Amino acid sequence: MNDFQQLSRRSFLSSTGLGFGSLALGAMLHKDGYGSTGHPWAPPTGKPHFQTKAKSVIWLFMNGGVSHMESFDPKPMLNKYSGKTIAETPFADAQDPEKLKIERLVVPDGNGNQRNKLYPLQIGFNKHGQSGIEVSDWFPNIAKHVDKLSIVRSMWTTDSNHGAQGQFHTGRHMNDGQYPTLGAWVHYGLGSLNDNLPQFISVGTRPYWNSRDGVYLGPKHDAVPLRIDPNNPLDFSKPQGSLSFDARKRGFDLVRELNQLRSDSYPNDSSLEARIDSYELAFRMQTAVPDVVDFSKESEETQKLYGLDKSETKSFGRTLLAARRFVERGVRFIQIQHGGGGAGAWDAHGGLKKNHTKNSMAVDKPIAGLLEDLERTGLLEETLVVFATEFGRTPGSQGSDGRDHHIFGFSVWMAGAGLKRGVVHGATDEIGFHAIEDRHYVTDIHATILQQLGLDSRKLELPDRKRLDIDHGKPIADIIA
Amino acid sequence: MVRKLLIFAFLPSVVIGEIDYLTEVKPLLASRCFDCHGGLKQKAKLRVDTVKLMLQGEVIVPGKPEDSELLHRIASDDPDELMPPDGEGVPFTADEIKTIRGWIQAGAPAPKDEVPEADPKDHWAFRSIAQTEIPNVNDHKWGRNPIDAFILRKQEQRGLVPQPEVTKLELIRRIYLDLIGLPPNPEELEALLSDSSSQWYETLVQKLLEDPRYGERWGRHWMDVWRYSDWWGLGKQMRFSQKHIWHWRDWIVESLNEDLPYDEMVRLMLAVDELHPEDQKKLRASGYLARNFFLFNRNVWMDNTIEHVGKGFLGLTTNCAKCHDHKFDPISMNDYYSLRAIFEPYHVRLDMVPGESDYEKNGIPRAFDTLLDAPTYLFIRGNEATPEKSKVITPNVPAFLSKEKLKVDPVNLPPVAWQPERQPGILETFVEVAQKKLEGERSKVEKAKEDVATAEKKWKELKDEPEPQQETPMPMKGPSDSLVSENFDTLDPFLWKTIGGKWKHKPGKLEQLMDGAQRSRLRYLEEVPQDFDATFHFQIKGGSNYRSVGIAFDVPSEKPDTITEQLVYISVGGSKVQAAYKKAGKWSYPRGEAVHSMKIKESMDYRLRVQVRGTLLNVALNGKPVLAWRTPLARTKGTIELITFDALAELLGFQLSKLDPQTTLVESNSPSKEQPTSREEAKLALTKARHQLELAQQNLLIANTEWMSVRFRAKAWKEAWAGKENSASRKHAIQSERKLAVAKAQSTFLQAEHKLALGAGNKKKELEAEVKKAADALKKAEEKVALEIKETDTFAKFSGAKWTPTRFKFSGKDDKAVDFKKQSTGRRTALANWITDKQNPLAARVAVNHIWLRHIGQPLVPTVFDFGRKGTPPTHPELLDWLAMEFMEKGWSMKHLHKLIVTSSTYRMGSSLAGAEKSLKIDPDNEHLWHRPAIRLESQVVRDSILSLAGDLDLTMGGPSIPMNQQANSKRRSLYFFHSNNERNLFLMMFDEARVKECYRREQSIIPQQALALTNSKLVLEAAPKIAKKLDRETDQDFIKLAFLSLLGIEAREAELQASLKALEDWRKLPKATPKTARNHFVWALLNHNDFVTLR
Repeated sequence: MNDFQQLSRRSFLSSTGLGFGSLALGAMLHKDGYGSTGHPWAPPTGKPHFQTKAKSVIWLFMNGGVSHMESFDPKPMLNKYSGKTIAETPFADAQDPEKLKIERLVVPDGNGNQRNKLYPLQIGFNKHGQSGIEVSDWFPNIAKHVDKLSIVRSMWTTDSNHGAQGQFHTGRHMNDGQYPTLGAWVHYGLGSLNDNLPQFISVGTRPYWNSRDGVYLGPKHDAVPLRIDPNNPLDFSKPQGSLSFDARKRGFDLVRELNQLRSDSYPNDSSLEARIDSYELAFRMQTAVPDVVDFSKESEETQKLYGLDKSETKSFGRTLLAARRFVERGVRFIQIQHGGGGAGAWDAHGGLKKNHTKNSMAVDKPIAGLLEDLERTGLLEETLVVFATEFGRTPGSQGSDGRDHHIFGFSVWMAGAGLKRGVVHGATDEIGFHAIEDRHYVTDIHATILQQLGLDSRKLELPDRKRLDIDHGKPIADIIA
Repeated sequence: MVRKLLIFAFLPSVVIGEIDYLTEVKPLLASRCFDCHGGLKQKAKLRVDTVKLMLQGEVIVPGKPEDSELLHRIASDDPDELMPPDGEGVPFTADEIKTIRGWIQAGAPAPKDEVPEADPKDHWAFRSIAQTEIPNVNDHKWGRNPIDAFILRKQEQRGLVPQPEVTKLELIRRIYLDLIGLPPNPEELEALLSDSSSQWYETLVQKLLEDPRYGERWGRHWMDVWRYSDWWGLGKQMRFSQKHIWHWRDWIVESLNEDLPYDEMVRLMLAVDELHPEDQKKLRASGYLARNFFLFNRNVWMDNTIEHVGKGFLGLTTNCAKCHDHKFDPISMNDYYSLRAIFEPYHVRLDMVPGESDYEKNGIPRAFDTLLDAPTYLFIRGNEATPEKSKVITPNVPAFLSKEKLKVDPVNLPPVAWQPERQPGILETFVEVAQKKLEGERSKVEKAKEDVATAEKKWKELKDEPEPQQETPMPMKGPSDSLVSENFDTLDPFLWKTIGGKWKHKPGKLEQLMDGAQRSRLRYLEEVPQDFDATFHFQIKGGSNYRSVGIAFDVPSEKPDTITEQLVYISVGGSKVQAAYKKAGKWSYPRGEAVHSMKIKESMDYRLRVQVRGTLLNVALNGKPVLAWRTPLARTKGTIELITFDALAELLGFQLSKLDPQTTLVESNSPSKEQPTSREEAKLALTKARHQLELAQQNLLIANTEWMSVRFRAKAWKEAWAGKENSASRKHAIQSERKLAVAKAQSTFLQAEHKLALGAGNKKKELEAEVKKAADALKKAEEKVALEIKETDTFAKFSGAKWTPTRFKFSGKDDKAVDFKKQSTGRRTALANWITDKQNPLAARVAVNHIWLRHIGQPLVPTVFDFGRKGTPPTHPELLDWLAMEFMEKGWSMKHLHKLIVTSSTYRMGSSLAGAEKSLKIDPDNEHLWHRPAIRLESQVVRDSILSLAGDLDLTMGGPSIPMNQQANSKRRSLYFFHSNNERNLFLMMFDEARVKECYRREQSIIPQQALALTNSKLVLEAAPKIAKKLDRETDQDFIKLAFLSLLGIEAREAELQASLKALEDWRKLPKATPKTARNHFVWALLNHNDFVTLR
């Protein structure tokens, strides 16, 4: 389009006469701040600990809590016993107090109740693909790709309110305090594949958890929040006043030169070097990021594939198309939240049918498009796509037409990067109440992802921040090919 | 690890003998066993922290693993036997058991003189603060005060040499930013540099400490530590902290400026409601506790309070003991819940501020004890669902820090504390409010009268024809106040974006080269004013058919689905100038005034000028007015696009400015949107206006009655409080309330009647019932006025405070209100007195460490909130104690401590490592402070400095926090910005803004977003020209030198000067450049210099 893009990194470096700062380029962002030597503990090198299957993760998180029974874990018994209390069905033992013990007291707002009267499925479901896995008719497009998915139907968590959103990302209950999120660990552990772009990106609203990710790993491991808006993709990426491109470019050159001239007075000053590097990334990022969200180079067919041509799918489709473009450019972790408002769009305490119809319509086509696009471009081989939500919804009804939060059993699926294709792992009981087979806490998802990325979470631990076993989780071996 | 492998490789059978106790066995035991069987605790009276102790405890039998209880217990299958017990540690692995077995087998060899774990009570921070002697040093020339002796002695012991002192220039910048958070202005700098008195520095320090901006700068530091936060929640629901918590911030700033002793500040924050219950100014300190409010969960609220009282004032991580006895410090679960018992009774309320009765607008948030008898229970494993109800925990402080139990004396509160309406000025406020309301209603009646008159007039006038509009000539003056003046010398990607088409940029023109019936667009990316004046210069070079070029505006930023937009274009094919619009995706090309037919030629220079005010468009082509038209499509926010349709074209220039309000546009002759009102409508409007008047008059009556009533009640209450009850006053008060009830009932009745009269229709029955009900109520109220006043009759109280309701129950409603008690438990006073007692070993040490950290950039105790055994010990314990003692002995004066620290030689060292190879080798981590660490300036200092240098900083102090939506244009100091967990200023966030939940020490990150904020933000771009103007010097050299001094606190060296001169020269060569813009650019660049955000 213009001189901006022609200004490759190489030419930028030579044209700005980069001196000693370039030596630190490779180490940028990952290595500064831990300069002290002689410690027995050492920060991550940026290299995986073992063989990698995945280079990048696209993390799709449905805010509010998707009904597992009406998405990827259909339960016909709900139709059969519709309107009966759980106690009146053969599955009465689901409410055995012993089995309900994992719930922790949380912010009490009246949602922690058991909903006793079974509520029928609000949507039909069908078998799909060669695997014959059942998927609800709210996700007809994703269903076409069911043979690519590893569906885990046996998740559980402990926060029965939306603090579970944070819990899904950190592995910790909100009352435990703040902990780094999965993306921050990945960012902390792995080196950069593209110095023009941030390696950990977050798109979408995060209504219920702090928008910083690094916590004790430090702010440099926070996600860079981006809006997928071709006109304003990055905070402060455009001058908020009059300043021409050429004037700016000359200014960056001068800043670099002056900073370098001062390095004589301040030898061994790692922060001065880091500052010089940060200006370099900033300069490249401010064009690299807008370039990613400039879809004019994508064919009409591709844009349609993601649903950019329809108003109901356009917004999420744009985000996912951007995600593919980020992955192509080597971004490690793209965290995408769907659905803002209140505690999250999927939080269907009432009017579930209307709610899930609308929300599934917004995401189904774009996600299917993403899977297809990644497959045909070969990127699915090295990209992990995750579809998750903070908890499921109660088999029983809330009010006349909704479902409450449900933490005892819910579903997550993953695809790509060395995972098995077309498999279901784990199960809930016949009314979708408890995960009963191969139960998994949320950190097992983290462990599976880290394993595919070649990271050992125990090796990433900081010496003064020992983590619990449950923080680390265990990889779900059954879904790894 | 390597060694083990070798052994396995070569000597597999002798492994046993090679196991080393210190490196292989002891660490295993330490990680699994010492917590309960070591220095801290001795469960089952057993210690395993030395081999000798293990032998004494008879848990190992050297050479006989099978007989060793220890081995048996760590390898047991029986969960009741297994160590560590379930939930208290990770079990030993098979390999680890093998190692221990091997070591016992080998006879459990151990080093002689193995030292057992120290008694935790002997931990350095728990010992009382000792008088410390000032050490002797060899170099008597370096130091300036006792601090330096402590620092230098350690350096001399290690062979370290302190780095040289900074230049006077650097020192001036350092002390300004450190003490007041703002750089000196050029005049101050100049004066100081030429001040040759020996005491210049001490004088400056004194001056800055007396400057009120000191309180703002250091207030922000303490706001970090004390967790200042404006309220936040979900949407409008307040869940955390309190409204108007800024009163506490103002109290902090004022207290620091007054040098209120630190111990007094702590006491007031914890217990001012018991210590000074009548003093509203001091009560603001209570925001410290009010901030911990949490709407939904008392336990979270209490846990936060306990945790941060511990970390903030005592450097103790008491919070660990919520679920289990502390693993490192001698703090039991019981201690934790004893602390909780101190806070158990308190809730939060807003005290009314004289002059404002609306708690949404003002009020002082503060704590008060109300749950005087609420029991505190220990929660088993910290789980609130399982309280241990058999034992009520009594208030106390951690037993190991106090010889005796905390002595608690209940406090009898003065009436003004539990009847807050008795605070001075509160009753007067109610009277004032009533009076203001009365005045308001009066003016509403006046307004309603005017409306009736207007409606009457309109109704009468309707037959008259509207007067014809006058024509005014088209103004031809050129665009002023230009927003952009583009001549396409370059194509700035921040200003323009091409969409569709085939574009080629050459200096001076932008060509559209794609032929065919489609639209190509050049989008302007900046904001476009609603009323604008735009001129587009172009040539149409060819094309197939229409060959149209023009200006589209109100183009939504959302692409590609443009739903509405406005357009003005000229067309070769159509031979016309046309105004058009797109509504719901459909184009309309109106005839009449929207089109002007004329011949349009290819390869001819056209200047299409469009002036827009509201819906009125004036269009001129090459200076000749062609259209005056009102678009029927409502204006929307959007941008401008220069478009070609089916045309090859050269874009040559574009000017855009706001439409000068003085400019008169030619009115269109098309009918205006406002339709003349029909007579019927006018009549209805008149009826409505008359009803409104009647209603307003009724409200006036109510307001008047209320005003009377408030005054009578206020008088009666005042007399009652003074013990001078007066039966006449009482009668008036009661009677006036009854009259007020009548007035209100009357109003309800009237409204019901109106409704019935206006639109009965099918609701007639309901409305009639309503009228009847209102009539009955009115009758009752009237009857009551006639009743005799009895002894038992009462009149309403005033409320001078509002409890902040909680929602701890599952009800979805506010919990039952708590009341204001005549007594307070005195527990918090007892705690505050204990914390600030000079015998307390922690309070002064912790405070001194915080102050030291912020002056020096490196704390004496690195774990600033944990002085316990898990924390890191002080680098200079003697200095810490000396400072703590000095602090207490000088009346806990912070200004004294500041002065002491900043006048030391330690403070005046440079941060450069130049020439320090030897020291760097000996002490690379600078543990001995042989150089000063460079500090990345805090977010507030970065922003405030920029505004200050530009001469823009608004130094108004105090008051409500500036809301997010006003921050972009605010010039106030950053500490006054609304700042909560949910809402933080974007610019400040880029520089590691304080986290409100816990911020004992700021991060100092260096991330690319900072570069973007400093290069592109409005803040910086607006400031740069203003700063440049202030640095005005004749020659570039002098200008550059002054800029270096003023912005960076360094002198420009020759190479820097040359680089800067070269840059100025290059900037001047840019299109549209002037000497002024080049200098502006230079200042902008210096603001991006590393030294601008760094305190050297």
